[in-house]
Amino acid sequence: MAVYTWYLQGSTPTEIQATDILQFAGASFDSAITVGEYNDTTHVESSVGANDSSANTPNNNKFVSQSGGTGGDSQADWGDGTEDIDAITDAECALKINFAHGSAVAVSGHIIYAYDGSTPATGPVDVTFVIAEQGDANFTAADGSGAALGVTDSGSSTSHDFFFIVSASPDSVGEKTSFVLRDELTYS
Amino acid sequence: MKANTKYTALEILTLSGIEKPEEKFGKVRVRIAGIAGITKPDHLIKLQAGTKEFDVIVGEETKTVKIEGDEETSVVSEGARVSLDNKGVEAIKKFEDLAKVKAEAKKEVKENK
Repeated sequence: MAVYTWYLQGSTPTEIQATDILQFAGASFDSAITVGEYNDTTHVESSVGANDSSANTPNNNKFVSQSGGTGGDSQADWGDGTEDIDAITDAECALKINFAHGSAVAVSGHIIYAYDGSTPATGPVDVTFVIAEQGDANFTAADGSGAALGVTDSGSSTSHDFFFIVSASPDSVGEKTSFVLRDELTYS
Repeated sequence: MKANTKYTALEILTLSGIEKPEEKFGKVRVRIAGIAGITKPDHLIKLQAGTKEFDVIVGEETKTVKIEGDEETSVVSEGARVSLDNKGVEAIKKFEDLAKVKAEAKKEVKENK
């Protein structure tokens, strides 16, 4: 049987349940991000609005530039100031997705993107979302399925860990709810 | 080879001792660690942490390749780095295109107000 588990990493990982919200915020939980700026904190919010990651010192990955780093690398701040994103470690990435299977399987055709919550091809409403896989040199603006980040194929194993740098910015004022992350893969 | 590392298909075939590996892609079947349909030398494959060995199938030839151990955090091989940098060039262009589209849309909204 296949089991998909999403985590917001931190001093302790917080599992993101199916009904939870991955909250990109300003300085603290539930605080706003200025339009055009990127998240200063990231949290797991329960379906009833509780801060589920409050005790886990969750990681935050903040987009800084798309090509301002060494040799055109993207840059982000994950707590130590601005760095090229290809320098991030697994543990420093905010998002971890584990795909486990009872028998060893290979994973291919793996994509991840943000959409409006109803039509996969339509990007999130009034949000700029960027994502990179650990080891990538540049962010992908994964705005709908057509612009998805292609994730590296993963060789045969019973447990596949995928680590992502994620950051988001509001294009207008107000809470953004038409903003859903979707991960698709094939295993065999 | 080490686990918890991304390699190109060409690197894996070379390190597995396949002769003239660059000539195999698109001509004979290449399957690495369960991933089928590999037709390009720069196809990226991550060997997950904990992998002890994996099979490489090239045409009629099958090799079982032993892994030396795990890297502590995910590592990118030299060949995979080149491939990821190339992917980055495309990502920069797409990012700029999206920014332009969003700026245009904002401008139109302002003009219609």
